[in-house]
Amino acid sequence: MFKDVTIGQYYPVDSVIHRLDPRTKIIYTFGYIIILFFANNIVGYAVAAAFLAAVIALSKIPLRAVLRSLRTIMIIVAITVILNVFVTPGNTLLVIGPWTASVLSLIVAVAFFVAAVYLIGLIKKKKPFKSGRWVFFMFVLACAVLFCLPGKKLFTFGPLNLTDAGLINALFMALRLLMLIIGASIMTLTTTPIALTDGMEYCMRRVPGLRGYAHELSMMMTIALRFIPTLMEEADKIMKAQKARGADFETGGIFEKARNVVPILVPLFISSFKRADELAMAMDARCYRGGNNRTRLKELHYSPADKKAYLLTLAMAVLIIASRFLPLLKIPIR
Amino acid sequence: MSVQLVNVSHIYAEGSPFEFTALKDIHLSIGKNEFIGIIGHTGSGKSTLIQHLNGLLLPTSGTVLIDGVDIADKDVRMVHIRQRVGLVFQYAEHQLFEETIYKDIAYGPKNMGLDEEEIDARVRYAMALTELDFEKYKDRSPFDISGGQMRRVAIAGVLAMKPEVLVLDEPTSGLDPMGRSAILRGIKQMHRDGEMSVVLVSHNMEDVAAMADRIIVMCNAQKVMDDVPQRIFAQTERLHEIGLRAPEITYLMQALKEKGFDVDTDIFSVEKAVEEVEKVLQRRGRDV
Repeated sequence: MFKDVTIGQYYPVDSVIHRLDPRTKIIYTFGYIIILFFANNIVGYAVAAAFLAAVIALSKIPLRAVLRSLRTIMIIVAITVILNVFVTPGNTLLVIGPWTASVLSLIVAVAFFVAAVYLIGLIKKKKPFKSGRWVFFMFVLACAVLFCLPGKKLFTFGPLNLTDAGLINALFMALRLLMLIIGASIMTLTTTPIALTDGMEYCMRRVPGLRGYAHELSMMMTIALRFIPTLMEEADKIMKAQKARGADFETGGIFEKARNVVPILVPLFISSFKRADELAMAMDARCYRGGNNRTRLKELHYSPADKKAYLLTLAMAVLIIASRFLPLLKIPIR
Repeated sequence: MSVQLVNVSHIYAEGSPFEFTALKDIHLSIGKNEFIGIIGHTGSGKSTLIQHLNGLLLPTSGTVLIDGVDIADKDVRMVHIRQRVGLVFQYAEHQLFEETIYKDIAYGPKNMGLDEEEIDARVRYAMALTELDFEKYKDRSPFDISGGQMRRVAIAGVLAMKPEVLVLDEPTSGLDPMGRSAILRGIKQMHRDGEMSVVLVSHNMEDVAAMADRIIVMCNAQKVMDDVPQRIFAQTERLHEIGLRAPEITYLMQALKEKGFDVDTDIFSVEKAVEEVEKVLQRRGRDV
């Protein structure tokens, strides 16, 4: 089950972007995220999008793998869009509602929802509530039913004003969020975790307050990252072992499910502590001591490609900031 | 009961850059009261194979049949399958979690929905088979006993479900000699008394040779040999190609034969070897 967790996981191909110095990629990512908030018209967005598209193309990562990192974040984007559409003041295009829900419609809606979910369960030969997509669809339908029937008034919802500014705002907000997430996931997709923490260490050394802790912090991060797959494998193994003893992690209510994870969590904690202990001993045995004056086997070196990358990022930033002064299709931000 | 694998293949992370074929076109059938050893180098697909036997993994293609019923079928309850085919993982002691040994062994039977009385009987049965003294150990924490004892508690946890096929993945790895022989003795006895089939995955050729009636050799995701121990270990050249070895004593017997002693080379245990050498020496003594 843990095999599917691939949000921003390193994608091993050889490309210009992969070969860039991790520092370049970290600074580029931060720069890109900040500069995105400077774009306020269609030209600025176009520049940012084109830059991102070029980076994706250069990285040789299939678009599908890049878009996969968006899957979990889609709900947040959807909520942002919906809120923006209705909350931004402007010229009203369409008034939706108000809707009135009645006691009768509430009862009918609930009954419909439950019946539909169980029926789907029967048809698909799965337990009810197992096929999430259909449950969601039925929930939306039930919500519609809620406002359809006459009867004793329960509550009123709306009216909602759909405005032109709201629409444009929502569109750009969504675009900005999407570009932000894709931009950041490009970094993790093209950089191995070790290179990433290495780069962070170098970057942190430049920050005045962090200087003294740069190595320890990045070592902690390296170890944490290093052990994520190990712990997942371990959890998977323990889960299988308990399943082999007849454990059932899929069915049951929320409390039952919570109780069912105890047989996984206890062994997982025990082995994590043991592992941490052993790792500390192994590091000690090899005379590890972090902190100042520690030299490294592989120093990071900038290549000519990194210089070009910095220049291109800078050029993009300048273009986007310059685009603010163009009198073109300004986004009416509140 | 019988377990049958028909044309089973398993591919991990299909379609991603990490795609890996762990099993390829496996045909295999496990009958009643068999004792099967599975050997193969690390990464040859042994662990993936045994996880198919109780439905922890479902094949990417092909079918697994238990008494003729496809376990991928929607009407099959996995809990039943897992009760009938018990699986003991490598380093099984890592699965312990309860406060007392009794409760931990009772976890499986409890999941099967048995009543208290039956659970109690089964815990006693499993502890007796694994040579754990019931009164002495039942209330102790599974975390303050020795590694070998922890392993035995974990095995008892699976035995308490009274499986018809017992699958063990490296049950003796990392144990001291006493712990090892206690566990192997237990397994042998279970096989003899319990009328259950046993599938033993091991890197220790001596153990496999001494216990199994039939040996399956895995190599690069495929089943390359499936025969009685005599015929498998006679092919030492072939085994070396696959990265395996016959039991050490077999090499001694082969060396003796080369030196002109008329010994049988189909010998896999020290006891048998001693008998054979004595026999040959007596014969020589008579001749001289």
